[in-house]
Amino acid sequence: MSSPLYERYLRLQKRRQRMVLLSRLAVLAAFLGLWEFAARWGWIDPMLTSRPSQLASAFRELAFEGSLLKHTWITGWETLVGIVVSMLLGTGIAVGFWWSTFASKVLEPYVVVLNALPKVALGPIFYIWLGDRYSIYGMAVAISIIVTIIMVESGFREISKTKLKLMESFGATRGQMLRMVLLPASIPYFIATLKVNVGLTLVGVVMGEFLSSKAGLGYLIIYGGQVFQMTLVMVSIAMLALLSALLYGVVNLLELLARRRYHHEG
Amino acid sequence: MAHIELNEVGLSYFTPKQETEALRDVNLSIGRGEFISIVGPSGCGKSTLLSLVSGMLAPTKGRVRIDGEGVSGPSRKVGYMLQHDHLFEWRNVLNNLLVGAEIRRMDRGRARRKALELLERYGLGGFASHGPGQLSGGMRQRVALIRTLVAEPDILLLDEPFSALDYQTRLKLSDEVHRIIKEQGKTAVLVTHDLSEAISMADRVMVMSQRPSTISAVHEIRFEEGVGLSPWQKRQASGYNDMFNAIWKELDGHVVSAL
Repeated sequence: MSSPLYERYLRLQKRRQRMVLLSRLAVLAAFLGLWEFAARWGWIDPMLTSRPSQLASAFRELAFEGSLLKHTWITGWETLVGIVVSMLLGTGIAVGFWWSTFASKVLEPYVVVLNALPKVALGPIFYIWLGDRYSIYGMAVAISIIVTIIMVESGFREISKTKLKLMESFGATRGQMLRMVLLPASIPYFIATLKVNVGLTLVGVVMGEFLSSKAGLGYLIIYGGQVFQMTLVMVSIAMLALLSALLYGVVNLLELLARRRYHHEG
Repeated sequence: MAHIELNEVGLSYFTPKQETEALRDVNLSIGRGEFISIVGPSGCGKSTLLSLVSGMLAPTKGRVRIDGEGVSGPSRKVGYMLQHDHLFEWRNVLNNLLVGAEIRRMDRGRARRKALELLERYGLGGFASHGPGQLSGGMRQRVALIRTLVAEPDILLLDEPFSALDYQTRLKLSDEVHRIIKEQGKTAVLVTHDLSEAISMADRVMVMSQRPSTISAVHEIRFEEGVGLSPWQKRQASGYNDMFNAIWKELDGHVVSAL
């Protein structure tokens, strides 16, 4: 049985949580409301800013017509492929670096330089080499893979040396150390990398679509800008925000599952 | 034949800046089923000596033999117990116990049976499917010992296995570990900087000198109260304090000469 004092504490906690949620919604509502009325009463020019009610009807139109969802799906798919490819490839390379200290010493300065290089600069090269469709994947992977390598590698380094010593005392091979210690111990680092990659890969995909594509939200945004349709631009941006929230949610879910499965604390 | 034998063993470390001679002319011979403690000033290479016996390090001079055979690489006859238990959080207790067997590709069913039997015998029966995070420090270290035993070594190397535990747990656990090791008939080498632990657990205590270190003295631990005393009983024995003081003085000499 909990004491009345404790129950009061719980009630207070719950009320505070509700207040935070309500305030969040209120901020959104206030922002949209202010935007709408400012546009209606002529404080701002709706040609430049559009307005929420217009966005809502444009959204309905675009969604029912089918093209908005199609473009969102394309961007989402490209992002997903980009994340998977750079996670796998990046982890593979990080494992290679762990396996061969020599290789990691040799290649370290190149990784550092590639990390600092603005990947957008590679856009034209990807376009010429990979064509208008695949250059988007190229850009997405280019932006996220180096970070993946660096983060996964530093995760490997965090794993205590003595855990590996224990493995060594049983006569473990490097492959066994990798499979039994390094990879399972790195799961929290994989999740952290995934979180970073969701954002980065999306940047890469939209950047790629800006440069070359004929479909996707990035394309819609550029197109909307060129024909001066602010409503189209803003609806696309809103979809982009939804998409990133969705992807982030999926990663959080994965984290929860991994934690339950592998008993990682914290 | 001695179970473990070191002959004129020397070891030097190399770093780009310098060469360090850690061990020089170490000779020692340990019989089957014997329990040896090694004490010495910190940094004298006690753990290095264990690494040599385990085969994880190769001596730069001399030879290490187990059962008369030269050691090269980690040996199946040796089990290592470290200062921290290093249980894998992503495996439950039972699967942690099978790590060694898995690495050595031993029969899984048999290892599993052995693990469960040892858990039961040493008071951890209900914990096979618990996560390591749910165990206390002393329980975790007991699981670590069982993990070593499941791999069926003849020799146990204990590298300060109790130093991360609180005093009370330490006393209790050293009694228990001593009993388990004697019961299983293993040869054991314990490295510690706790002199009372060294004396109470061992049949013989070896004292190491400062770097480049060697074994400077060997003390037979025998009390009037009889043989086969538990660590707890040894601590109560009438000759215990004299023994402690004698070895303490010797150790003190090494530390002072190092200063």
